[in-house]
Amino acid sequence: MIKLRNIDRYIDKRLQRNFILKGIDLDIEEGDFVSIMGPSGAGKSTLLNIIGFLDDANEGEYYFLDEPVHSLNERQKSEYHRSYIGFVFQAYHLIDELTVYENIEMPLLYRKVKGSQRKSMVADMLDRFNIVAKKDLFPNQLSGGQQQLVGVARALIGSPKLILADEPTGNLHSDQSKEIMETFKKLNKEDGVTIIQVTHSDEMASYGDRVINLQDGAVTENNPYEEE
Amino acid sequence: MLKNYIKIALRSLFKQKMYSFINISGLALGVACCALILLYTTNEWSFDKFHSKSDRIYRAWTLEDYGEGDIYFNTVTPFVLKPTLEQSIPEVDQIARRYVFNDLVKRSESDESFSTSIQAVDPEFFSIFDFELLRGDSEQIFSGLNEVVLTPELANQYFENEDPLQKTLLVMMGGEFQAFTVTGIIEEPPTNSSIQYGLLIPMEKAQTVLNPNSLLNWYSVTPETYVLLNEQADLTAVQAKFPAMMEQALGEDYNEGEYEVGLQPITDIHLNTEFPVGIASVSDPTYSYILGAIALLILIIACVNFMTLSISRSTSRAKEVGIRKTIGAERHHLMYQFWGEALLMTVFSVSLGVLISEFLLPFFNQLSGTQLSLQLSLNTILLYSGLALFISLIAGIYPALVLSNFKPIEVLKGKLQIKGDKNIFRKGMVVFQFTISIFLIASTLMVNKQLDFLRSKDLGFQKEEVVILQTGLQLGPQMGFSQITQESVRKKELFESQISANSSVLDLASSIYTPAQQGWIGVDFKDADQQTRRMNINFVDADYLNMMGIEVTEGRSFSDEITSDKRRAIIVNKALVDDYGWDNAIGKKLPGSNFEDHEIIGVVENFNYQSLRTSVEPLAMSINPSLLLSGIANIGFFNSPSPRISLKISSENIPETIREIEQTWAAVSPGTPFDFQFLDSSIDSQYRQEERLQKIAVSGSALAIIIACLGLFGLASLMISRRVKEIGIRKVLGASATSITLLVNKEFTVLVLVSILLAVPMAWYAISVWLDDFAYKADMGFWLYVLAGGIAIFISWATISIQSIKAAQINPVKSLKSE
Repeated sequence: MIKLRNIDRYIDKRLQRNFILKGIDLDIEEGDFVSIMGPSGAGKSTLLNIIGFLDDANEGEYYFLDEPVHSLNERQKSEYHRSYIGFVFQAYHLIDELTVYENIEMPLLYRKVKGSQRKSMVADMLDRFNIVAKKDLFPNQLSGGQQQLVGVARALIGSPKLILADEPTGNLHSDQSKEIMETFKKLNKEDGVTIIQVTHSDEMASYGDRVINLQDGAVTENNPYEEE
Repeated sequence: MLKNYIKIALRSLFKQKMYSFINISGLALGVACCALILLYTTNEWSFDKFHSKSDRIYRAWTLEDYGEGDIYFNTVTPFVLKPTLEQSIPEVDQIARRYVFNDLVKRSESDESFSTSIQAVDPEFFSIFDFELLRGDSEQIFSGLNEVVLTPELANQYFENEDPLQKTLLVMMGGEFQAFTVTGIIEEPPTNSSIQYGLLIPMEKAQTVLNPNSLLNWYSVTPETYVLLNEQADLTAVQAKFPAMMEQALGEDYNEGEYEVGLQPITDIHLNTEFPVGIASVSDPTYSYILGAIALLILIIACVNFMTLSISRSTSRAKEVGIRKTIGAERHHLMYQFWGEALLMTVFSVSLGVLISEFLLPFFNQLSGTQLSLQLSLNTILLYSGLALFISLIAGIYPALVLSNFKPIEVLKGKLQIKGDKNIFRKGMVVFQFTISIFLIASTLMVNKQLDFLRSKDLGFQKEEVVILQTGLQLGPQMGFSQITQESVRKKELFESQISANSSVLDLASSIYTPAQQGWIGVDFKDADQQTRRMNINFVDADYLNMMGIEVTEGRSFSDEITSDKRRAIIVNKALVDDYGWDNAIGKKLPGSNFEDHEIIGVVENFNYQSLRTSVEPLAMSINPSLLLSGIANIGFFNSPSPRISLKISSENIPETIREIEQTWAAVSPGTPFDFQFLDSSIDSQYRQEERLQKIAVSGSALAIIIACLGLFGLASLMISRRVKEIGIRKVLGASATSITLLVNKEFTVLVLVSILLAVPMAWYAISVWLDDFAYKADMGFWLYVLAGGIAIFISWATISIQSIKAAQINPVKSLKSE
């Protein structure tokens, strides 16, 4: 599904070139649940952003479903965002002015889904995450875990093939974190959704079936647990 | 989708109440200004266009040019032009002349008489123009001589609730009341009509009391002549026939190019100041330009506010942009969304603005001297929708571009640096707004100063506590200048004898003209070298100069004791002496050859008998009118000459004095209306246009500065909210509240200072152009600009300090914790 070849991401500063990512080669198959780990500044988020088309690599090739991403234009990238990729953020990033219902509904609006169908899809999602009672509340009326649930619901409503989660549990306490991770695991197993998450925690990483360790912009260990 | 956008727009509108308020109210004020100006200009441009035949109606003009600047250009014409045109020009369909005079009208012998403006018109008046005859038979109207047509308002004034048709009205004509029958009621003239009227009588009737010679004379101009050409007529072809027509009409008096006749389209009359003013009033477009420019500036300031505030505010929307982009929104989705929000705001603002303009309308009418009313028609609604769309485009597109261009990872990581933060754009906009505001403030101050100067300048005569009383005497067939001046002096003496017991009237004198009347009588005469000399003349009695406190610098004033003064004495002003290059004027004669025996007995200081727009022109005064009239070649006057009695009164208990004067006047001149003015107020009224400009400038600059400050207030609070952390750290490190306030204020003060530098030359230039209109100017002091700049700095400091003092007092623990 995802094929990265010799990806470089750097910032030029006067005479020096600072590499954030250097020579990344990575293959991720459909149905994988991957955790990207590593110390602060290792380039985890940058890698995730590149995978999610939010950032561009300076060098190298990236194929998404065998489509060369480096030659996609903005419009096509938006198309992929709409149909294939869902994002979950550490800071939830819900729109403050919209209710829970409206936040979840929003991706459907950009996909021009009809009103009646939209209603049933949002209702399904609310039901699935047990937040029907909260549908008319605004994000600031929810707890962090609830907000993240809404965030996940929003990411899922477009039935994406890939979910990118940047420290989804970083702001949550352990019970809430577990709930989110269980959800991810279930999605991965039952619906076959590919999940890539960035995390600091070994416990969270253990929900996945593959770990990629990054250090100073390079993959140091690919799938360390598999060998055990 | 649209629903979602509107929801978000409304919610963010309410969430940030202050910015929404500033944005909407500022823009609404701008729109209100614009709406009023639009109303005004459309009214100005619509003048006389309501006549269905307006494209075929012309007003005739005459131009006599005898060389050496001896030019007489008039839009009032000889009476004889109408029959001549009808005979010689086949393209002419119909012609209507009209002229206006004031005289007394009453219902019956025993009734009170009203001084009324009377229009004498040809019967064609009712068919050429679209003025609707509400009652009466338009075919038969004015077929008789003693008919009168009234507007409903006048009919109501004379007859109240009675049916006015076939009623009798007495109109003073040729010195006696004549009976007229009301045969028609005509609609009130529209406010955008150059031709205004109230009481109409047949031209043929009015001519019976005029000097028969003047009806055939080509050199005496009285009525306006309106010509309706037929539909096939070509204006140039018609005008090309005029020289031949004039050659035939003038016979041996005709010299090529000396006497021209031409046609001016009726729709051109109102705004064309190149033609001399006839009977129809003309509006100087300069003031509508100034008005329009101020409105446009205010609208621009409001739009700039809208833009800068929207961009500054965009940090709070940045996250949303990022989220939407990751979900799959394309740039155009976001552009539409933000532009749509701008549109929503402008629609609010425009609606509010139209409401505000409705409230401001009476005030605006007072400013512009109009009677406009706001009518919501399909056209105006379309116009305002167009305005909303236009404003949302110019004010909304830029923020939409900036916002939709955000990179999602940057905004979601909170790394966002809006370019507007440091860049010149926002600062430039603040400078721009303040430049305009300071320009307007400086202009306002200067207009004030010049008006004060005009009002307080020593005019060379006594203008306070002088009452001018109209004698109502008019030139007529049996009444020459000598007769009316003698009659006026007789009335004055009678008045004096009656009032002697009353000490409140201190002194009185009679004269044909008084100061503040445009031009007095202008005359030309040929001197020994056949050079044309121009001067103004006035006929006064022996007491006039003394009573008015006009200083005689050489020779002496008129005297009652020296009887020859009444016959042959002339007093001239210094300007005339200088004009003729005399060293000593006493004993000299005017250089014309035809003057009766006369002698200059005195020279007076150059007192300002005209408005201060012109410098003092040569002037000669005599007691005996024929002395000066005998030698002149041409005469012209703006208002018909009518003697007035000037009374110097004591400053105490003026209302009581006026009553005494009225009672005495009723005894002295029974049947003449009591018509008086204070000299100082009629002098002030010469500057009514400038006063209007002053009011416009004051309200314009006040609005501009209010809107600019609204914007500044918003910007300052946004800037501070972004610097809360910095302020917190500074406080922890020991900065005082004062130093923090100064820190914030400093940044904006620099911008205001730059604005002052930009505004001063602009204001200086605009003011000097305006002052060119005046022969007497107040000096443009340096202090004026200092004051204008000071006001701007003061207001901006007051605005920012509200925010910065508040920020400086926030407990740093709070501001740092929230980060």
